[in-house]
Parts: sequence; C-alpha cells; structure tokens
Amino acid sequence: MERMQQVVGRARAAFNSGRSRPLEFRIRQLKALERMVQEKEKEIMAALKADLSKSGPDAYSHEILGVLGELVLAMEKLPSWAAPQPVKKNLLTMRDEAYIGYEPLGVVLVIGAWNYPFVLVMQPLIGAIAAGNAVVVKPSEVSKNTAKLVAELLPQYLDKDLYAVITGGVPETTDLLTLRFDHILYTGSTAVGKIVMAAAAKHLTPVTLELGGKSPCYIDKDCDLAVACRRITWGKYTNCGQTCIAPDYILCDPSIQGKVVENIKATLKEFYGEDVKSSPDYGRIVNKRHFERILGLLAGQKIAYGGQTDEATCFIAPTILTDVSPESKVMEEEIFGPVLPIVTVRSVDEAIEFINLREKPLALYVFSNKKQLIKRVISETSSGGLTANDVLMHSVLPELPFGGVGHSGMGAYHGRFSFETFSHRRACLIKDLRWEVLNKLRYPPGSMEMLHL
Amino acid sequence: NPYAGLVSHLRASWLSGKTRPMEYRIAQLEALGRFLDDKKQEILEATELDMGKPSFEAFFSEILLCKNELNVTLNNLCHWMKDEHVDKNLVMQLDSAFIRKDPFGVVLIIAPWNYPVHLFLVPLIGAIAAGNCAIIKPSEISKNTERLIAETLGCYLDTDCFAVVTGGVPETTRLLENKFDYIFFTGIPPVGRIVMTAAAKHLTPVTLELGGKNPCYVSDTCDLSNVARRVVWGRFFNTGQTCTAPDYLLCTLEMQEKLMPALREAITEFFGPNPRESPDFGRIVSDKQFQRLRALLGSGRVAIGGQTDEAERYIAPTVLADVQPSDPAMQEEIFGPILPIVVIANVDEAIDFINARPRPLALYAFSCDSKIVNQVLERTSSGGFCGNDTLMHMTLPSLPFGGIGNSGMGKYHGKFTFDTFSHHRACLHRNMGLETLNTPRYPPYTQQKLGLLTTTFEVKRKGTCTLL
Repeated sequence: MERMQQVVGRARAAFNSGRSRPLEFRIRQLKALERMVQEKEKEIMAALKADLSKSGPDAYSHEILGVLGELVLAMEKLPSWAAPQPVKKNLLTMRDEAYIGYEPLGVVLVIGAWNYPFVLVMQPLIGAIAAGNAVVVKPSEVSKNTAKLVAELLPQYLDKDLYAVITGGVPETTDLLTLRFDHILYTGSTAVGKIVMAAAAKHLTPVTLELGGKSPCYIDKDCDLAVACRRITWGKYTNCGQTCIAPDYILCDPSIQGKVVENIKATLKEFYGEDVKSSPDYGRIVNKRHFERILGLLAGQKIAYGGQTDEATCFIAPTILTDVSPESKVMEEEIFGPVLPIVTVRSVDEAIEFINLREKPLALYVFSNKKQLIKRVISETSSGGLTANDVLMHSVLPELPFGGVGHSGMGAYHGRFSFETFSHRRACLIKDLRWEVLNKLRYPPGSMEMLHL
Repeated sequence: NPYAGLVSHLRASWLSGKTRPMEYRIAQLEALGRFLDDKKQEILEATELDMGKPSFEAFFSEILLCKNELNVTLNNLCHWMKDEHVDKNLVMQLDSAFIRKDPFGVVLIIAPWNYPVHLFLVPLIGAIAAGNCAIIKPSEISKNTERLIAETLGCYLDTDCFAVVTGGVPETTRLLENKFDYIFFTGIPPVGRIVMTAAAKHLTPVTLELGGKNPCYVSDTCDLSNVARRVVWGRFFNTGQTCTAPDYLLCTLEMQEKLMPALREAITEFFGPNPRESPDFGRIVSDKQFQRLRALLGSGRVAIGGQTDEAERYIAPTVLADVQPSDPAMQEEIFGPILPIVVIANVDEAIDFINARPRPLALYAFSCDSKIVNQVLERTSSGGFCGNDTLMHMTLPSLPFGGIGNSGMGKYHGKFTFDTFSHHRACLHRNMGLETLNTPRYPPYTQQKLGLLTTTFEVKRKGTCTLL
C-alpha cells in the first residue's frame, strides 16, 4: 500500500511539474510507445500466447494492429484535438474571446482486463497520454504474462514517474481504489464496475466503465444465411468466445434454426478444420475457474454441435445449443466462452421485446436484407453499439465511440473519444476590461424595461 | 419503496416509446415555454418569498436564461437528433457508419434552492429534448417555489412521463434507491458523493454540478471601477447565493487599499446607501444559512458592510479585508454576500494559492494585461474561466457548464445538455455482399492474410515533409 501511495504520489508530483502539458512531450511519449510495440512485438505475442493461447495472426490483428493504428492516429491528430475550440458568441459577448480549452485531468487510473490484455491497457493509455495526464496502469493479474511484460516494458520506454504500472489482484486493486485519481477507466465485469464506481464516488472521481452483458444477435428469415453465419461464427469463436462484444446468443425463427446450425458447423470446419483441437487458430479458456463456469452452463442443454472439453488444456470445443429456454442458466449470465445458444422467436417484434426486457447490452447485432427491419431494431432497442449484417466491426472504426450503456457501462473511448474522455473541456470567456457601458444593462438598480431589449 | 410505483409508471411510459418522436418532444418543450410565460409572476413571487430574490434577478435567471435555453433547443433539436455520420476506412466504404443519439430512459433531476426554477428547468429541457422521461426533485428549502412547481408543472407536461417529487433528505434518500437511467444533481460536494454512491448500485451515469471556493485574482494593473463593478455584481447577485460567484479576492496589499473605495462605490451605486431598503438586494434563504454566514463575519476585518438583521435574514453586502487562509471564511464555500480579500505578494503566489486548493467551479482573473489573464488561465484548472468579468461564461449556451474534481463532473447548457442526456450509440450498417473482402480476417490464419488485413486497416502516418 505504501509503495502504491509512493507511485501515485510521484505521478502526481510529475504531473504538477507541468512537463506532460506540451504537445511535443506527449507526442514523444507516444512515439516511444510505438517503438516499444514494434521492437517488442515478439515478446508481446509470446505473452499473449502464454496467457490465452492466442495464435500469431489473431494476436497481431487484435492486439498489435489496433494499437499501432491508435498511436498513429493520436500522433497525427493531437494538435487538432488539443486546439482550443472557439464557440458561437451572442450579442453581449461579441467583442470577447469565447472558446473551449482542452486540459488534462491529472493522474488517471487504467484498469485492464484479461481477454485482450495488451490492447485493453494500451488503448486507454494512448488516450490518457495524448490528453496530457499522468497514468497509473493496473493490468489484469489473470493474464499474468502480459501483466508482467507491461510492467517491465513501460518504464523502459516512457517517462518513469508520469506513467507507472501497478500489478496485483483483488486486494491490491481494492487498496489502489482508495487513493484519489482524476479519472478511472475500468474494463471488466458489471459486478466489479459497481465496486469501482462506488470507490470513485468517495473522491468524486469521474469514471468510464467498459463492462459487458449478453450481446444479442437477431437473424431475420430474409437474409443471406451462409454469409451471416460465417460472420457470426468468426465473431463468436475468436479468442475462444472471450470477447466483450461477441454475439452472446442468437434469436431467430424456429424454421431457420436448423439451417443456422448447419451453416455455422460448415464455417467452423472451414475455419478450424476437422479437428478443432489441433488448429493453431483456436484458443483456450483463460483458466480453470472460467472453464468450469462455462461447463456449468451446458448442463441440461440440447447440444446441437460441439460440447467436447479437455480440462487439462482448458479446451472447450465450439458449441451450439438449440431450443434454449430463456430461463436457463446459459441465458442468465454473459457466456464469455465458445458456447452459442439459439433462442427461437417468431417475429422481429418478439425479438425486440425479448431484448428490451433485459439489461442493455454492450453490442447488438441484426442480420437482414430488409433495411426497414434493421432501422426498426436500431430505433426500438438500445445498446452500447450496434453492427448490422456483421459482428464486432463497429469497434474497429476509430471514428465511432466505443462504450456501453446501462449495465454494459458508461462513457466511451477509442480515437478522439479517448482524448476527450481523459480531458477536461474548460469553458473560457475572456472579456475586455473596457466597454463597461455594455454591462450597465445588467447592473442594479434594475429596471424591467431594460431586460426586454 | 414508496416511489417504486411512480418510477415503474414512468418506465412503462418510456417503454411505450411515446417520448421518442420529435413532435412529442417539441410539444413538451413548448409547454415548458408556456409554463414560464403563464407562471412568470408566480415564479417571481415565490422566489421573493423564498430568499428575497429581486424581481430583476429572478426574471433574468429564472425566466430569460431559461427561455434562451428553450429556444436554442427548439431551434436546433432536429439537427441534434440526426444521426452523425462518420468517416470510414477502406473496407467500409459501402457501409453506413453513424452515431445515433439514444435517450437513456427514466432520468432523475435533483435541483437546489438558489435558482430553484432554472436549475431544474434547464436540465429538464435537455432531458426532454433527448427523449427521456424524468422525475424532478426540487429543493424543499425554497419551499414556495417547490410548491409552485409541484402544483403547476403537471398542468403543462405529460404526467405519464414527467413527475415532480417533493420532500427533504429522507425522501430523496428513498428516491435514490430506485434505478434511474441517468441522474443529474446540482448541490454541494458531500451530497454529490452520496448521490454518486447511490448511483453506483445501479450503474447509473451521473452529472454532478457541485461547488467550491471560486477564486478571483485582481492584478495591480486594472481599471479599478470596472473591476469593482463586475466583482460586486457577481458576488452579490442573489445575495451571494450563486455557485459560480467570485468567492474570495486575491490581490496585493496595495491593490486591496485601492480597491476598497471602488468596491464601496459600486455597492452604493447598485444598492443605494442602505442596501436593506433596496429592492435589488435579496435575503438569505434560511435561518440555518443565515447563522452559518454570520459566523464568518469574524474573519479578517469588516471593511464594508457587516450589518445583519436576523428577523429579516438580512446580511449587508460585506467586504472583509486582510483575511487569513486559516480564517473561517476561507474554510468553506461562502454562498452569501461576503467577499473576503486575501492578500498575496504577486501573481505567482496567487496561482500557487489557487493550485493548493480543490479545483473550483469557476475561476476569475482581472487584469488590463492580457498576458497575466492568460497566465492564470494556463497555470490553473477549474470548471470554467472568465477573464475580466464574473459569471458571464455561464450565460453563453455554446460554452459547456460544469465542474472538475470536487466541483463536479459532466457539463450542460445548450447542446451539451442534450448530449448529457443521450447515449451516443456507435452504429455500423454493413453490406451483406462483398464477403470476399472479409476473407483476410477469417481462419485459417496465414501471413498473407495478415498482410492484407494490415494494408486495409492500417492508419498510415502521413509522411513528414522535409525541407531541403
């Protein structure tokens, strides 16, 4: 705890020194991060493989490519993001300077998650640095190789006092949350999100919470099923289903349930071959606890495909469940694994009602050839984000904010939104000390006639 | 849970979708406008009863500024509601990528007593504009205004979607047990903490408009009488009961001496020789606040004013000189017609003084030298900043209004209120065709596929131009 206080204290002193304010300094730090990612690519990939059995290309495209993209974007756009924004003035302020200034918040805390352990600390870190803050990073202890690597690498490339890494589990994080930060960005579960917000409330610290939930995927009868199922298969089983925006469950008409299963089966063979366990491209569950948790969800379910497991390697085969009851366990919690339940509904109305009876999800998916139907689903539901006719993709466009709503979270980041999340937008009005005559209108003794001017 | 029925009634209305069409929102907003027009007299009377608010001030803050916000919203709602289309990358050229503004659902607005209509109405404008249902909880301390709102707002707004809840701390505590989709709170920091803690149980996002001590730095080079007028106006408006009022002055000893006659003159100019008799000077809202303020008069020495009358809850426009940082007047937000002056040696000391304290909602700096104004601005942090005047940054709807750190989180006014009460939902509507474009992302993974993916997704750094 004492060490933590020292680290945070040093970060605060470093922030107060003002050296993170000049844009050139921030860009230099971002450039150093870029060098780190390029020079240490092998080490990063090795850590991801050790933690999650992530294959090379998968790890690269999910965790490295995205990070490099954010870095380039931030370095390119920082001058325009950070520039004061003049605003529309009214009659009384016509002669004045009125603008919104972007300022750093101070010392911010980034708490990462284990499923995309590198990108989920790096992307917030990039935004926090770009906005001029000092940053304390707390990577997930569950993905321990990546956590160790991040703790080793960041001090080698970045200003050691301004940017610090604190490692540890629940007790360490609980201690850390008693300290005062100027913003906390947390990625993780809904339950812990509440704990983080309650801790933040004690210091009136604003929070961005990237949580989760069950992301529904509605498949309309009128759509290209083969294409839809290929895209869904990709989004569901990548990273072995351990993706916060993975399509959690399918809603479709009973008449196409069989075809959906067939199409997904075919795609799975296409992706992972006949023996999925020996495919280098199929991951594993992160640890025994989650392995057992997901296994428990299969109890009593109609397994249409898959279901094979191997505890020793935390392997769970890509699994599809059919005719799932909305009341069953697998429909209660976020699955976060390679198990895809299909719940049948008779119409899009029923699907919308089903979705709206539940907590707002982080992502929502709808597949249909009918533009009108898609428009309806968007207008009559709410979710963090949405992709129609594909999955996951709304999260890769940096121009779109990435975040949840309701139980799936609050706030957003990625691209410019990261910068804004970690900045204070300060209203600035600079008047002249002269031209007092204009002010006389507002001074007492007041006259009601004056106001009607 | 005494409010469960009310909240679920509003939630049912929300789920019915009736607040979503633009026509509905406009109709409710126009009804709010009629409320302000029809009840203008009653609002002026109620606020006068509550805190002796001068009619001029009440009209300005409770009617005029509210109508401005209403008109800005009505004029722009159609535009604000539109989907915001965004730039796309190479693979998404045939897709539609946009940000949809979704309402949150049922929101809670908790308002304080000092600008009792403005501080529920302006947030409500944004909440309605964004398509939400709302519960309004006005302050029980401004009890005449509370009664007016509770009795008449329902005659203008759709009571299935908008409700007023009255009561004090126990009632608010029970109300906060319910799940809301957004909570907008204006009040003091300790209660802000309580609200955020209650919100955390339901993961309800919040905007907290809090307060603190707003410093006002006056440099040695300035136009004395203009500074005095602007400071006096900002400090004594609403009898000092303004969250963005200049809370204390920072200046050199020399400046304190020079400023005093100017301040005295401005006070007399505004309120006459006996402010107690001026219709333009108000009263303290309650006995509790009166006693709290009276106790602060022992700080430093009374240079101007200092007279009080308990029966009337009158405290004269007061300036305290030579106040020490350890004095009672420097320990809490004053929120009354008392202006302490703390002497510092120079602008650097003033900036250090400000930075050693919690970040304020507003920060003021007066100087004829714009470099000094900018120095104070650049070396400090605050919710908002106004150079060479007080309060005015709040009256421009194009500027966001909100705090930082202890003075709050989130912002509103103008479009910012609409944005506060909307969920900005990332939407991507893709083409079902062109499936071959997706092949690089699918397993089995190969280096070649990776290369293709990198090419299409990579954000390339624009080449740096080297001058020969």
